[in-house]
Amino acid sequence: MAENGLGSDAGSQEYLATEVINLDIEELDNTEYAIPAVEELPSLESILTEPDCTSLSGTDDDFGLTPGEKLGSSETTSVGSHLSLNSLNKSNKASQPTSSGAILRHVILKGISSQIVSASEKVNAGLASAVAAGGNMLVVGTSHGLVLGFDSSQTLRWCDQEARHQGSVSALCFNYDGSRILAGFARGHILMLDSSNGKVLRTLTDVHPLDTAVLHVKFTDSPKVALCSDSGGSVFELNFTRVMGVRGCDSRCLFSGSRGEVCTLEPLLLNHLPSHALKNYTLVAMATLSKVIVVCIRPRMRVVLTHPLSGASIAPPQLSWQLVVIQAADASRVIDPVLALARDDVVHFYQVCTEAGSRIKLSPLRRMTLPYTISNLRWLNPRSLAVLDTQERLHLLDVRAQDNLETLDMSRVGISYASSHFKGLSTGGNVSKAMALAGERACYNTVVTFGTQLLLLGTKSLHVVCIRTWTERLRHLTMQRRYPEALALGLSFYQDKGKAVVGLRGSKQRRKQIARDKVCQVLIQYMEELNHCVADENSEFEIVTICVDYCIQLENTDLLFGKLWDLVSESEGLKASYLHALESPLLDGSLRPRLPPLIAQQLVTLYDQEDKVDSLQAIIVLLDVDCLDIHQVTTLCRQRGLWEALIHLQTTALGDFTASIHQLVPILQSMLTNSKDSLTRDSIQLGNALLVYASCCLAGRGFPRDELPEGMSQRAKTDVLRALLSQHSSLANDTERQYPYLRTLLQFDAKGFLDVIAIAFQEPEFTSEMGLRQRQRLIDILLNIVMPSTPLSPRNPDYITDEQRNLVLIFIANEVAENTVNLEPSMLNKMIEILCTDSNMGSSHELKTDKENAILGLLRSKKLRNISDNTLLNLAERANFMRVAELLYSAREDWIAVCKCMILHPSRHHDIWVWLKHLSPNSLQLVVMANAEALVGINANQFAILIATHLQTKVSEILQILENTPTLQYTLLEALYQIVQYKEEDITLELTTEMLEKYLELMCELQPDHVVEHIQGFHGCRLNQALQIVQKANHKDAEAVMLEKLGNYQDAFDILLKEFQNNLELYCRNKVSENASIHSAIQLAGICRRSAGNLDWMPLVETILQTHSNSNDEKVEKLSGKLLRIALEFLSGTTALSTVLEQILKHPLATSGTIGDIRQLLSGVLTHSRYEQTLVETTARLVSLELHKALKKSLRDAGRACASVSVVCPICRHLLSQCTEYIVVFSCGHSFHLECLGEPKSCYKCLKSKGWAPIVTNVTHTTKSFHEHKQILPPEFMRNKDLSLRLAPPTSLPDLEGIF
Amino acid sequence: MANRGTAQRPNGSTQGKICQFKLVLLGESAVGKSSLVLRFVKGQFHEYQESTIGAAFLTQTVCLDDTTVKFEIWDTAGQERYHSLAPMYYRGAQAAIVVYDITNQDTFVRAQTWVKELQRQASPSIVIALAGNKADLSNKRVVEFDEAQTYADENGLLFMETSAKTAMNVNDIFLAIAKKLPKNEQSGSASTSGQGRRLVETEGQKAATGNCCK
Repeated sequence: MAENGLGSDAGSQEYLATEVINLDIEELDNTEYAIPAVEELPSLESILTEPDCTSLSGTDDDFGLTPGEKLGSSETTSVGSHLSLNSLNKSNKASQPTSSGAILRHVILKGISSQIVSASEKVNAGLASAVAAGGNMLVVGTSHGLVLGFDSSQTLRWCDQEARHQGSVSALCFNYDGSRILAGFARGHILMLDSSNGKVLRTLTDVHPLDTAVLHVKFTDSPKVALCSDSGGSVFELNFTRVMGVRGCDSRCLFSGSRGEVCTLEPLLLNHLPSHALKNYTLVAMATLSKVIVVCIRPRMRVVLTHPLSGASIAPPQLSWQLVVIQAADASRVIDPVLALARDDVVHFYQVCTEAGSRIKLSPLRRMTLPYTISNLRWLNPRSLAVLDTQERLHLLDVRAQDNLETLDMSRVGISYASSHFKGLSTGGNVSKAMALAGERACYNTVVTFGTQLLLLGTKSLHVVCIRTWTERLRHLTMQRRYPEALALGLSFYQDKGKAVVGLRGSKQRRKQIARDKVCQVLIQYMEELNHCVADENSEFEIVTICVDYCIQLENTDLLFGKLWDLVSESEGLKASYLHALESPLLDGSLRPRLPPLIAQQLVTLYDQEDKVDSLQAIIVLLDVDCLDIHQVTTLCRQRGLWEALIHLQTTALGDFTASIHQLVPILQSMLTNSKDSLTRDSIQLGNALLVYASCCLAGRGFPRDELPEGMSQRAKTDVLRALLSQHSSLANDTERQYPYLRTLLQFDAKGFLDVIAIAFQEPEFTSEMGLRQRQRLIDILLNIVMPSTPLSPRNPDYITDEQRNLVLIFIANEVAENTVNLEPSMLNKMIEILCTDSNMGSSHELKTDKENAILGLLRSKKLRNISDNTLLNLAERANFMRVAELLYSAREDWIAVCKCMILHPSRHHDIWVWLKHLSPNSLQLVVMANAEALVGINANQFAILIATHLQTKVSEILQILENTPTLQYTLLEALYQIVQYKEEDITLELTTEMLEKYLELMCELQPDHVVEHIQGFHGCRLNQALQIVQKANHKDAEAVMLEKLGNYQDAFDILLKEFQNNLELYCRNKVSENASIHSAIQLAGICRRSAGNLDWMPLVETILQTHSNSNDEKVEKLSGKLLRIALEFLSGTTALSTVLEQILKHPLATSGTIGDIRQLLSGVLTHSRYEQTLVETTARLVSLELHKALKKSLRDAGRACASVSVVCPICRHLLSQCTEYIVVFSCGHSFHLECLGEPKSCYKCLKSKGWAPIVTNVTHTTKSFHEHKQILPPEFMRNKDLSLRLAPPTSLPDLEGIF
Repeated sequence: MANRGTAQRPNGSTQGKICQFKLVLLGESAVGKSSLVLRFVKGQFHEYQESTIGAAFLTQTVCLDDTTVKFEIWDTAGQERYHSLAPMYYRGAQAAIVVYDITNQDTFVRAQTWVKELQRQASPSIVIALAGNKADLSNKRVVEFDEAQTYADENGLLFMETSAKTAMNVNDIFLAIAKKLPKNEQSGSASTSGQGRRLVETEGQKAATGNCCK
């Protein structure tokens, strides 16, 4: 096979090695690897001269072209690659030109790639296997051990063939200044080269164990110290020495592969920083398959961090350092290294912290989970990570936002993997399986970063990926005419929100400025699209809208109002969309409300044409006045009825506060007269605008928003007030009445207008001395308007409706009550009269309350002294103003009348009781006597409490009063009875027997259902009397109960039996329900039980059996079965079954009738006895079970040991052992001297901490005393040894359905 | 529609620079300010022109050699109650026309006070023109031509007698102002912060130089 061809170059020694490999390769499945079967072994030359490699002269720029593709595919056919390097075989995968590539730039280094190819062709260099860059050099190692040095212009400077026999170059590394190179080889050699000429300076042969491939060589910050790791998983520190001019090297094992195999290591390099707290330290991160270890080598060996790793076995661990500017919580900025460590699909970030002078610490920052398996991970800049996944796609990640910015397919590169090094194929393959698996996708030395560039080494080419600068990205988008994306991107740069931004430098301000200029250029380009794009209208409108939006966001009004306007102004459609686009930024404030006058004019015209009056009004109000064509706007506002805008213009532009009122109120007036009944929408708008305007001005605020400029508010107030109070309008005719404006506004919305005045009255202009006079004047005028000397007919346009008049009067009354204005007494009288008389007409409830309150206010402020009480009282009563009347009566101390007033006023009802309580006892008595009926009606319970507490002596009298109304009397009695029954604390009330009997009597009459319950409880009546009452009321059930109480069981039984028989009879005739019969049967049976044998209960059974035998109705039979069961239930408890049986058998029915009649009864009895037997057995079993359990528990408790938690008695603080008497140990573990514990004996500590502690009851004089030792006793009911069974009282009926 | 984008100006001038100026008309009410502007902008004349409320805004472009002059004209209302508005308009203006009625002496007196106010309050570089309107009613003339001419000369004003009705001297007076206005430096736009705006080459589509009016 081809391997032999490859190996033929090497000496015989290596032949052995290839032999070994050969065995390995033999197992390769030819079909799986698509290896063509060869007839004869091709020579190496013949393979290398295959034409496929010539295509490297492809483009140097962005690709997406086939050459790279071919390069990858050619790889698969070259069998040699399987030995040294394997590449993913993605041969003929159709290339999908991705639309991405906007952020990452992908370049093939054509020069170097062609050199690699020609080297492999001409000098049998093999395929590229490692790459490193440093200084201004770039070195590439090949699979045949060649190291090629290139300079920055991609020309080959030197070629080192020194180590041709050492297998492939597996690792390369530059030192900091780029003068030295370390090269590691698959067979274990390490060379140090001079990067300027490729001369070997040192050959390190014995720095690590033989037979292991070098996987990594890394310089540290110190030029004398380097690190290397081998395929055995060990890490060595290399110290270069130079003794007497002889270069040498010492090695030291840092980490042995026996403790886990290191796959990758990464020292932290800080050389390029001028100063940093970490400079004195040398940190190295090493990753095995299961964990990451960060070690500090200098000045002292120490492990700083270990972090466990997990993931699929094929996923190689990843490490990468980056210096990141970190903003601390206190806004100070530090540059700290951040370590990204990853395996499989999880990335962790750790920040290195150095607190001044203290130790180094790595603190976790965050964790990221990716949807793919990582095969390489490198930082590109402090915000961006480049991640290569196992599918050879390169992902650009933004670390802060944690999102994937771009994905590039890298399969064209044909990345060369170091799997053979990891497998140690050149050294005998003595590596662990895990290591070999992990190396499958290891590309540590072929995917490396150089600055912000990512170098990707393919087996035959070298690719570079870097992030485009921001201008490039913009250009890239604009070139493709993706303007909206370009603008969005540009805006994100401008707003400092861009991701993976490269090349934008300077202070924040400067960056903003640069970005803005650039984006404006893009914007201009985009606008020019308008000229060229002859496409559909919609896209043009879109362009306009987007341009307007970005102009505003970039705060570039020059562009917005200049170029853009010039472009759109010639087409109506574009202009319209331009103007529309302006609206929302204007309204939300992102655009200053200043437009060039021409644009403002066009905007107004457009919105007028489109009938968007509401938006138009908002915009007019918003815009600065000096950019509006006032003539146009004013005319428009008048036509369209944009009153707010009109008022706004007049006040802000002209500074004229009166004009609006003089001009607009007459308009409102004419509207009101023209449409008398209902107000039009327009007039409502105008009226409201005027009211708000007046209110704003009177309060000294701007209309419709904002504040008035300094010094204007005073003028606004006086001007508007003067205008409102003008005696006549400017265009008055002779018939006009005085104060037309006030009249109009009152007519429009009296309540609203009065509110406006009320608000204005709070201003200092109405509270100073002058102000009060103003107020008085205004009130006088209002009074004049609403109480004209000659009444107006409702047809008169100036007519004021009653409601409006009332509102005004209420307002005035309130003002008078507040003492701010005075009225002549006669005027006041008249006012009161109107207020009181008008209320008879159907006015709303609210208005009535308002009026009443107004009068109350006047009364309280003592403004009505001039009106006699009687007149006022008359008026109030006529108007039904109960509260006024109440106030007047209480002034006279006529409590009964007051109480009546309160009773009449439903909303005062709950106040009555409090009020009554505060009355003196005498007057209380009078009041209660007078109003007893009404009061009981309102709340009997409250009343009962009241008389129980205050008028105990008068209870009977009060009841006397209620004699005529039994219902009320009964409710009162009931309430009183409740009080007596459920005694409230401070009430001691005794009801006399008469009263209680009366109560019973009334109850029989009014609530017969409750009687039985009542007499069974405490009823307080004489028994005979009660019996009579019940008999009189013909209440059979109750009578039976009373008879039973008197001991007359037989009579009670007879009554009930009769009742029962009636019920049964009725039931048979379907008159009453089944329940009634059952109920009476239960009662009967109950009485039999209670009488306990004194009674002959046979009649009951007889009755039941009789019904049973008499009827053949199935329904009745069923019922009698039930009844029989009930009877048996009740009887079985009291009488022995044998007796029952005997009785039944003795009964004539049994003797005379057939046995069939009583068979059922008998079988019932027998079943019952069986049931009882089972019951007894089960109960006995349960009891013994319980006993057993209790015993078990007690035994367990007794067997548990208690240990003392302390050796000191917590009370006396002496040792427990020092005691004269005994020690008490509680189950909680605390122990005390017996003499220290007081009585009762309980744990003192638990008492203190938990608040409770069980008390010891079993202090016996033994050394150990168990707390709460339970005495083992049978349960309570078992103690009595007499285990003769008794029947329990009947509980629920067992389901014996079907037995009977 | 298709070639709309090629910046075709109303006057057909597709080369040279564009200058934009703010011009304000002042004067007693009913001297014919609005008529004058209407004649200049739309070439119309209404016998019964309604009185202006506050101020009206119009634009007109004139060509002057290779320069396009764009006038933003603020036609203010003459009524006394709108007097307070006037400063808002003449404050940033590069030119003003003070109009009087040759048949009414009072309007001439008023015009003189306007001129004084402008000289005192407006920008010092403002170009003021005096227009004696209603020249068609010369039989009712009260203000003599010489008298006005003398006054204008003394105060360094442009002066013409115009007639909006017959269009006499209407375009001439605006052209005269346009000629007199400075067109080469940025003072016009710079001093007014956005009122008179940038002057850009018409061919600005090609690589925006960012360099205004050379």
